[in-house]
Amino acid sequence: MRNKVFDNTSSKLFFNKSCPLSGKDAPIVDYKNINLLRRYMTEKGKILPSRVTQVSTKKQKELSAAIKRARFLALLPYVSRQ
Amino acid sequence: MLYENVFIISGQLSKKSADDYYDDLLKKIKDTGGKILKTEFWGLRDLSYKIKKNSKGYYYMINCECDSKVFKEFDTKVRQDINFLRFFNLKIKSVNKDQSLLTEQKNN
Repeated sequence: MRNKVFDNTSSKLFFNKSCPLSGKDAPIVDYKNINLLRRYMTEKGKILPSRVTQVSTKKQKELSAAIKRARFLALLPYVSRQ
Repeated sequence: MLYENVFIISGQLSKKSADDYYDDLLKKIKDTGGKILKTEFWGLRDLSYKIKKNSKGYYYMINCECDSKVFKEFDTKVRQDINFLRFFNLKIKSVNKDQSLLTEQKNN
């Protein structure tokens, strides 16, 4: 798995290079949009790193703030043990 | 200043008594000269983790234009009242007129 992430030639095959949350048709990052936020978390409830998801730095900051807000309101778990 | 507030009230209460809590909050905002621009009810939702031994809660959202002094009162209320689970407050730049995604889920 590691090689796929860091190897330049193979990364072009497996990952979309542009940020999925930037651009015209991109979904709005908001703490109320739980289904979107879930996609950027692990099953355990951790926030996925942007190097895996290809999210831009600006949007990653918005994402992490939104996830933390949703956690406070018990819309998302801090840790899920399922 | 525009604010977005979310309140969670204990799911052990009946909906009527939860609404009473909510009306009380609206009143307090109005009494201090605030304007209520938009309200939403997100329904009785499962909490992702237990808060004050509750696993369910009624979610209410209020968008308002008011003085920030009101929120101090809400903060103390959360600490003192068992049925008042969460109070969440955000500064916003504009009020989104569409219904948020959480209300739609409830209707389906």
